[in-house]
Amino acid sequence: MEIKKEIYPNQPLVEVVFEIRFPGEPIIECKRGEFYDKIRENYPNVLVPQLKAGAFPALVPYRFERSDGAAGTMVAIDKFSYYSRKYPGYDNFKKEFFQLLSEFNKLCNLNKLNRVGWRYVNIIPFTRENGNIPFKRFLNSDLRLTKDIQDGYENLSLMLVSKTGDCSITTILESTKSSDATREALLLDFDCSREKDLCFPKIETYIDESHGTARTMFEQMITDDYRKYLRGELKI
Amino acid sequence: MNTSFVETDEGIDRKQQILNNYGLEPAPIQRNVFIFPEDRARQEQQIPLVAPLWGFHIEGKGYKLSVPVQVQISREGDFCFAENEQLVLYGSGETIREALEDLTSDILYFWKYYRRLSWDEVIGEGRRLKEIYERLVIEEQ
Repeated sequence: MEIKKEIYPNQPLVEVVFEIRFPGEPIIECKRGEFYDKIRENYPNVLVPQLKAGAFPALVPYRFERSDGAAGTMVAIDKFSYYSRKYPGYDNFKKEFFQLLSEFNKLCNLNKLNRVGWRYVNIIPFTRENGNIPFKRFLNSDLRLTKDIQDGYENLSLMLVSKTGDCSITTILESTKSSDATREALLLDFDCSREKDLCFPKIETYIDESHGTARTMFEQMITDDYRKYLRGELKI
Repeated sequence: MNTSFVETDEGIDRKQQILNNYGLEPAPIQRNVFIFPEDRARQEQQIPLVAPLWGFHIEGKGYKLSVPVQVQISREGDFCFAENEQLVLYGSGETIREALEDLTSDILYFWKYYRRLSWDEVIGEGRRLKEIYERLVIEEQ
């Protein structure tokens, strides 16, 4: 099946992440500075983890981020990821991920994988109808648990875990609001991961696969009207 | 290296090498969703200033909008405002719900008003608004 790569002008994506996990390599702690040196021109901001009681420092990633915060990379002794908050489209995202991974791996020589995961975080703003979340306008499912629930929901918090082939998909659907409560949105968060039979040279296959799964789920979940809205075809 | 200190033969051997003051609890590796609490807080701040209004209810009756109306909601002091620039309308109230109800009752009023007017009764801004309102509201069954 062809995976959609269209970039919507009104896209709701606020964050896209691809992460690989591997058996812990202490050398990463020694090479972190060298890695930063290679990428500091594009990722100058160093964000160190603020540890909470009981946390394991080596497992909490450092972040090296662009000066505008639009993208960054996270490294810990057992994980490496790239994230974007201004999604440039899949091809550009993938290219940047592999450039960073290539620099990282010149220093750390990774060759095993424990897990790969793709996250696709969408914020869908809404205004209430009759005091309820009008999710039928955005999503194909009406989420009606019983026939007595006619008017929809005032708030929502749902986590679903499913499997497609070797891919495990965690979908979170939640209502959320800004701190001053003037703006409300549906948070639609996909985490597609794979943990079995992973082989380091096949990372490109895994990223294609997990992106494809998340994108297909998103496209199947949204209504045609909302798709038109994302394309900028509908609005006053 | 296995960071989870599971009870494999290798894990038991390694536990014996751990100094007495080192915690023996397994490292809590999250298996499914890798969400940092600070990310959620940041994402909430990324909610856009405008949101689409797709429909509304007035006096128990549902109305759908053929095109979603972009609504900006704001709060000033004790009042909330819901506005749309294209329709040159704003609603106000003590709560966001009241502000939205005020805005949607205006949309319904002007939809009825502009549909009653014939095309030769409107010019300029009035014509622009009649073009928008003409097919804007659909009564739901």
